[in-house]
Amino acid sequence: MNQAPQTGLSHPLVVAYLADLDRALASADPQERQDTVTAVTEHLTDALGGDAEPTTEQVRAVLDELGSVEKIADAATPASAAPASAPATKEKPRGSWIAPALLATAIVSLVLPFFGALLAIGCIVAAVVLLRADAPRRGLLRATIAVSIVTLLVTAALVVGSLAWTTFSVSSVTESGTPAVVSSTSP
Amino acid sequence: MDSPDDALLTQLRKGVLEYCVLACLRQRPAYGLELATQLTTARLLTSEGTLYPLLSRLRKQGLVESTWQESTSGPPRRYYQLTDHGTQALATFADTWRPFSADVTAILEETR
Repeated sequence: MNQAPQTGLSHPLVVAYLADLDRALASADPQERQDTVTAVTEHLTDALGGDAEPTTEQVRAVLDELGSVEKIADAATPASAAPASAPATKEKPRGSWIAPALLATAIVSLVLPFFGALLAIGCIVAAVVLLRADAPRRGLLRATIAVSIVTLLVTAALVVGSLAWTTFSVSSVTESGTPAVVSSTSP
Repeated sequence: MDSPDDALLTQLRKGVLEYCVLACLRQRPAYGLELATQLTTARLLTSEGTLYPLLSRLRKQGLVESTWQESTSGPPRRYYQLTDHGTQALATFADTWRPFSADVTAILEETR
């Protein structure tokens, strides 16, 4: 492969053309740049390879058919238009304020006795949806879920506690025969 | 340098050239120079070299794949061939193109 002289690839015009093409593709998508230079080299090997030593006229004709390196570079995708990076930069700012906001809401839900449970459920749903959508700041989203679960546990404990208190008060009323209405609402 | 006619033709070719490349590979794999010559003869390509960035994109999109094959003369050649995905994309294009080109022709005829 290093011994290319017999293929016509060592002709000064071909060498210059390939170097120009590589330079013209400098701002193109890197994969396209590499593929294009390789494929054009193969094209030239095939087009000039049959002749032991192609004449300058023959080389010119083949390069003419290929077209100017600028035209080829125009047909390539610019490196900045690579589809992978565009959506990522767009989504980041959106997810980055949602995660702290959700965490703050979850913390607020912790100090609101019963209404907090509803907030917590909302926070868990939102955080799970965002995590599944591959949103950034996953740590904050996980923290949101953890805090919301604590809120739900505290709420559950409060509900169980007050039910137990009510049952206890009612049973103490029936046993002692004295009204104990106030105690069921006390703490 | 380009005349207005050339500019119009360039625009029109832009959207369909990739499907013309897929069509050239429909029956059998082909190597670069072969494809370039076929498309130039069909007057669908003016600068043969512009075919290669396009082939790179088609490969990246999984519509075309390439394999090395021994040639009877000279070094092995890279052959391009359609993937299943490419075959499907070509079929979808053909189904869309036929009524579309018929509609364009019809309106040009009707309004003459």
